[in-house]
Amino acid sequence: MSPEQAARLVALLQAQDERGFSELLHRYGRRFRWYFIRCGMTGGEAEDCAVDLLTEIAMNRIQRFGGDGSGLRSWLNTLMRREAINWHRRRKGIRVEALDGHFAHLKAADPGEEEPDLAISAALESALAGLAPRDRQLVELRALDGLTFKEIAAALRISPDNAKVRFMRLRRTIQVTLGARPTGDRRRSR
Amino acid sequence: MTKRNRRETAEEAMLSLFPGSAEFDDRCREAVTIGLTVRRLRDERQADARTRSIGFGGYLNDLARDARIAPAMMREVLEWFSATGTAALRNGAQVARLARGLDMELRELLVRVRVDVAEASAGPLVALARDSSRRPSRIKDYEQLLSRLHWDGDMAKGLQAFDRDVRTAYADGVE
Repeated sequence: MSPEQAARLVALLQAQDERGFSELLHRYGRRFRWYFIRCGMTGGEAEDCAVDLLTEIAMNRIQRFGGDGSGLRSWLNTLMRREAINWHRRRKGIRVEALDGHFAHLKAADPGEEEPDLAISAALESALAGLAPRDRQLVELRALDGLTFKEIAAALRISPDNAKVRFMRLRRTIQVTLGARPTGDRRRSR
Repeated sequence: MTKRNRRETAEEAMLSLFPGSAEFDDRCREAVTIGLTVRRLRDERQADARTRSIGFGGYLNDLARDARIAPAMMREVLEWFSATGTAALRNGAQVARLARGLDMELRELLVRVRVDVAEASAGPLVALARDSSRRPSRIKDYEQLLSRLHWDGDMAKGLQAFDRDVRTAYADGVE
């Protein structure tokens, strides 16, 4: 997101404009959840924390955000980290200050700012357990190494189109395995 | 492809592998709607000094009426924060979140909730107020009235637990 786009988003959020919140959800809703999973929460706990954080942002936090658009991402990272620390403290009944050091490695909370960590590996390991070795390799090249489909195709000696189609199919398989609604499935569960 | 692009590609792929439960997106949207409604309540609270109910529940309903928030929406807000009727006493942390969203100080919240509890049990505050030389009108006046009440054992314990949860939640919320 460019600084101009971020500044526009902040302006919309502070004006309580629903378009701003739609964009915030689109850009960060699942990232919040993913961050909390990395902090050791289960999927359900991570969703609860993400939802609580979004409520807080809409209710009062965004009004206190004093920076320009360029600071939005790091501000959101700070909120995520604070939420995770509070969650751990509530769960274990220990003081927030005592936990600060334990989360130092997550200060760059943005998944795009650091290498995949052990928590990601563990989650992915569980999800990939049932895949054939070649399928598993394809998913890892995409989800851990960030290779393009053209690069994956070269590595696995298949066509780029085939790499893409197979990744989509595997993604659906993994999502079903995890009990999530497969991407592209518009049916509502309730 | 730059290192940053690779990270973003990997992140997108990872997010797509773990999209969350089917209800997650709906819950996120609802969270925003609830948050924005509380903000409207807060704006209304700060906008003028109309006379409103002193009990927590009545006060929120008065705010909602003045802010022209539909009763159904207000019910959703109260349910979201588990702040409906006597359930509020068992959910101090959530009630505190709502109160903080309204910029309500801890002391004010404790008084308003106690007024609800007291009035639910045969309206002792009404009798106390009648005995008073003047009608209580401020939080401070009600705080004095409440200090003259005697809570029975279970209720006293419930209020103590509520106070503890609320105070913890307020302390957590200090930025």
